[in-house]
Amino acid sequence: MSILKKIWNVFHSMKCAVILLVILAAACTAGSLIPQGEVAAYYTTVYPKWAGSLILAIDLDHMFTAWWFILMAALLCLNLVLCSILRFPQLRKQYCTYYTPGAARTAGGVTARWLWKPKEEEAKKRVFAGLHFKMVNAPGEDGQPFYYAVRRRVGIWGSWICHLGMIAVIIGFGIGQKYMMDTSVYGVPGQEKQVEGTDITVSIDDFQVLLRDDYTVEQYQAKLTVTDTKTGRSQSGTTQVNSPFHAFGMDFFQNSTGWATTAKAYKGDELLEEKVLCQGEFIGLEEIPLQVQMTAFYPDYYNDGTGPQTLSPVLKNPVVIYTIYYDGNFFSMEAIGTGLPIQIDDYRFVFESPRQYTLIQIVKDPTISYVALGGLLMLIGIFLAFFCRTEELWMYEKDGSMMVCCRSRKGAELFAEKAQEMLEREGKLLLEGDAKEEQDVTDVDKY
Amino acid sequence: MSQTLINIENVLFYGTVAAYVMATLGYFVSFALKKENMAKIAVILITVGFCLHTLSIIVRGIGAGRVPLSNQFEFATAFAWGIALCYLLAYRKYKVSAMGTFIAPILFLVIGYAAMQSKEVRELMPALQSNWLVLHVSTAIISYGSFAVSCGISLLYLFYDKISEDRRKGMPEKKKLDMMSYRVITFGFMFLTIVMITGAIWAQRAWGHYWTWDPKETWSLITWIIYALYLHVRINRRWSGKRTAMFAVIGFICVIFTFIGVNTFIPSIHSYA
Repeated sequence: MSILKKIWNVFHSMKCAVILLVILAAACTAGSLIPQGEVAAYYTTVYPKWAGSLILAIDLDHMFTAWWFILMAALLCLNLVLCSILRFPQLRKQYCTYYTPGAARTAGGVTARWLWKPKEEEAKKRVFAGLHFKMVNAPGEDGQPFYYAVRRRVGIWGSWICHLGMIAVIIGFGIGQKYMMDTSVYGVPGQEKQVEGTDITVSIDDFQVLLRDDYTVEQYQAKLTVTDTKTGRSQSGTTQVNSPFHAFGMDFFQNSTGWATTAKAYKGDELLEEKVLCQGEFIGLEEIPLQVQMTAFYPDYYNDGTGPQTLSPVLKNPVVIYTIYYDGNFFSMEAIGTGLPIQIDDYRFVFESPRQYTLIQIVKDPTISYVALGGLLMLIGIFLAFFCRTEELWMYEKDGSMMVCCRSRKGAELFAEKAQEMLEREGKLLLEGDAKEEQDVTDVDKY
Repeated sequence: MSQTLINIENVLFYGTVAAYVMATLGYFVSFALKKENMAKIAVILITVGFCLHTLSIIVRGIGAGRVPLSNQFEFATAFAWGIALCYLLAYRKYKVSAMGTFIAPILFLVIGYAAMQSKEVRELMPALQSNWLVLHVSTAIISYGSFAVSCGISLLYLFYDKISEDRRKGMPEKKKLDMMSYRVITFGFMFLTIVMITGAIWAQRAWGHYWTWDPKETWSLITWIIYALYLHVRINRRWSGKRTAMFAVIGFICVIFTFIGVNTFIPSIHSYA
């Protein structure tokens, strides 16, 4: 056998899939235990030097996007594709020809067989009926009756369908990661935002944080109007957690929230600049390199010396923590109530009208329906593979008694046990059967 | 939740713990002193415990005004309930009381873990206000319960040869234990797949992404892979017996880590679960 042939054989074998699954499981373990996406210095300081270097060298810091992790997943997918292609004709043949009276006559790999004396002629039918089989009589060339039944033939497709589903999930997920649109906009009611890279704008018509009596959040609700600026068409709706708004093929998710204020900059009484600031944003001036950041916001400010905190999420004592930068350099950080002026030489800054802003996540994943279909196929496949066990039962006359045989791919022992119980109830066993698991003829070293 | 309902729930819950503890002791006595009757009493105690447990969950649900499956206590107690349910179903099907010797301690540990959690009834946060919660978590309970039972059966298998002949009376052959474990795992595996699919659908609805490699998701995938490997090597590589029993135990260790370890040691968006 040539090396290429050997490689080919290994590559579409179950052994290869098992090895890939083990590698992927080990990689997932590492990826879940090692913090992902930190800066390089984090790994070299938190871990021993050699471990930090190793983590960075083999991309364990961004495991799930590492080239070798993606390669392993792609190889697994390819392995599944090849196996599925190669198995299809075998399974089709098995489905059409393996489970027939003719095939049973010459069948090998019988799970169990018994020599049985029925109480009466009707007992034969009762055995089949009692085991929930629909019996057919298919006499042989000698004209002797041959009673045969098979059930749940479809079960042999189980693992194949499951693997098809896995292929759909892996490919769909991979393509989705590459081509999905995932962006966000944030703002306060009344603002209109452009969705990056599209002709779509999002107007935030309203945003509410519904609180319970104990101040826990019941729901975040944003009313949006989405407009396609190219066609001028608009759609309005509400998005809340667990209930995204769908418009123009995109899903708009209520993702998170925070506090915003209207910041104003004056020189004397002249208004120089007015801007809605969300936490972390700056207001700056053109004439001097002065910037003020709304660093943090506390709606019900309280400080007992251990640091600023909020007593409730309700606007009772709103305070802004602001930071002043001059010429790009940190100057000072202070706390001030909303509406109160921050005087810096001739300039005056005021934070007013505190309200909550909303962050809307916008997602468009072209492959999501394929992934969902893949998941469904996996589930159907697993159900068929493990709960639709193909079982056969047949009997024919032998030396004045009946030779009864049963055959099953999985769970053979329990099936044989049940069959034996039924035979004992409906007649006398002359020779007890021997139950054993039968290997699926098409499954050796494949799926 | 009114104080009366809290008191009723407490009585039922601690009654459940007591029944499970006594059942565990019953199995040990039965195993150590070769008293088959004690095993039968232990099965009755688990049944009684299961009934009390069901009532305590119902009372909590009535008091909270929702399905009680949303924090670590509620999920832990439901997990224990799932183990008891799966054990009783397996017992009904296979009539092997000896497996209780290894399953009851698992049940005891899980209910003990639940007892150590805060029992405070909290309102649902927005992300948990979804019908998918019920489907996702209830299938997880069945799945985890099945894996606990298969772990117990596999431990019995692994210790089988160390059990003296006379103590093995009433126990099935090793081959049947192996088959039982396999059957229970196939059941749990199907439910684990449903857990992952329903979780993905829910995550898509709540967070906009059905898969984000969050540690909880990743560990449920690892668990799924381990059981998938178990099924593959068993069916296609003819692995059985000791090796597959070890697999079943390792798989359940992963289940426990997914449930407790991830919440305890790794920051996750599933930290409330």
